Amino acid sequence: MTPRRPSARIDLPAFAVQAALDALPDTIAVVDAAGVIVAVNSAWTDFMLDNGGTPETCSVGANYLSACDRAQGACADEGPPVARGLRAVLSGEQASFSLEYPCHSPTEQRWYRVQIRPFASGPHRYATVLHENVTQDRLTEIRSSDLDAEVAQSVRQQTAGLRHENEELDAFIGAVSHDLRAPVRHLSGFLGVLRKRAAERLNDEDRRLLDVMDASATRLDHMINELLGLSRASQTALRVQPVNLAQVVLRAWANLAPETQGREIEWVAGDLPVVEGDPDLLRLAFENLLSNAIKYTAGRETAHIEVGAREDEDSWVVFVQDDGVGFDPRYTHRLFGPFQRLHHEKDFQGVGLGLVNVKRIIERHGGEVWAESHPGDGATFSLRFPKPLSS
Amino acid sequence: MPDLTFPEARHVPGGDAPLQVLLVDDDPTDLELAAIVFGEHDLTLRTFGTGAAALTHLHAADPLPDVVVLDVNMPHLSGFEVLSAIRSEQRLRHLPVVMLSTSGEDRDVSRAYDLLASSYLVKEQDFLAFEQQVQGFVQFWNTCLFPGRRTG
Repeated sequence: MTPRRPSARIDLPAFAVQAALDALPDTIAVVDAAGVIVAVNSAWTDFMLDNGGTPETCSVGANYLSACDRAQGACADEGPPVARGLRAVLSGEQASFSLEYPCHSPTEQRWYRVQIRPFASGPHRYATVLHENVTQDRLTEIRSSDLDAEVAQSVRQQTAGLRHENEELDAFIGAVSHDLRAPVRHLSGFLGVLRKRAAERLNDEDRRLLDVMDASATRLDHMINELLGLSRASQTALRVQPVNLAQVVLRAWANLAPETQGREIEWVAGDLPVVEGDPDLLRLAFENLLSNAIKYTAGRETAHIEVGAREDEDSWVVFVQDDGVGFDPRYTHRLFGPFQRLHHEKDFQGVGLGLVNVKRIIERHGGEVWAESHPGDGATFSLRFPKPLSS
Repeated sequence: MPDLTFPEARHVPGGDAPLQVLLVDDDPTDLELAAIVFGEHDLTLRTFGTGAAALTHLHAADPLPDVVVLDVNMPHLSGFEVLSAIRSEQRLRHLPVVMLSTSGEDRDVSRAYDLLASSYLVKEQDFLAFEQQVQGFVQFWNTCLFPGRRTG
């Protein structure tokens, strides 16, 4: 505290002090140590008269403490705490007091903040009691918190809506793919019947055309199967349990035996973590990734495929790395989109849903997937698994 | 719905009647294809486009077919409902019933066996595979004995 220097004080005439007080928009009263009002400004008087107050309780000479104690009317609830605050400030217990309170009139919502600060004049202790209208601040706050709530609500609704739409879309994909299987089966079937019945009349070119149709029907069937798989990967309820990824990867690798036949593959599986997840869906994800690795290393005399993991602070990153042809890094963003192919069908067969499946599955596990390519020298696909909260 | 009954072609060593198969599928194209492929074998195939028509036939049939093949997904009476109807009738309940579906969904497979299906097959999409599937089916049921028949 800086002691006041008496020389800095200017003794203004009382009318000038009153004029200065009256110029303030906030309601101000000065009370003495006993709580008796010794000065008020015109805002105070106006407020008092507007709000059903009487000169007996709120004008100069009235005891503000007892007025607060006995407060009646709109803002009566705030009377006792203000009285306590004023007593505490006047007695020196508290350096100052401030309280925000609602004081709604029948026609409008209002909020005030009362601030009580002490001052001394010689041996006498006084306090200024200032009621500041903070309605605008409060309304702004309320609007912004309403807005926050509204935004949160609408985000929740939109998320729920999107989730619902996604589920409907998955169900739709499932139903449509299911229905698409019959006509494809008929195509393939009657092509087969035709090929048999017309065998003697067909020349080489005719048979080639039938082969093309057959291949297309088969391809269409594969696409439908993958769509069905995707819809299953998205819709099947997750059966979450601790999953030893090492076992999952081994099983996936074993299931791919038909694809590795006749190939020389140096296959390395490093230490893999135990994560929380659905073992069947995770196996499906690794089957897709390993199948890709097998497919795109077909040109290697000895292919190298490695599955490994590294630990981050709150997640595991599991990678599947191969030394195959890789992919053009310019198209990395298209890699995980449905029916996106980065290679020619004649070079590598596939319908382009494998990585979509992987992405769906990993995202359903709260993880993420990304890929890096070393064109001509392989690709690395990484899966991030969040660590269980308990560990 | 055409009732595609194929003429009996007897060549069974023991001189017994050939295998009698009753097939129910609501998809006429599937029925026609099945009729062609089953027709490559020595058996009698009766086809129906609805479960109701098949049940009406079974109620009056004498002798009964050796094996019933039911498509799972059919409007009105589904394959499951036809299966339940067969299992709930004293005269029909012993019939071997093979479910034939386009999908091998776990819940469909479980439901089929819960309702006492004899087996569950998933329709092969590829023609050659379908031919092999039918061949396997025919070979298997041809080795089976049925009450009152093929006593050798």
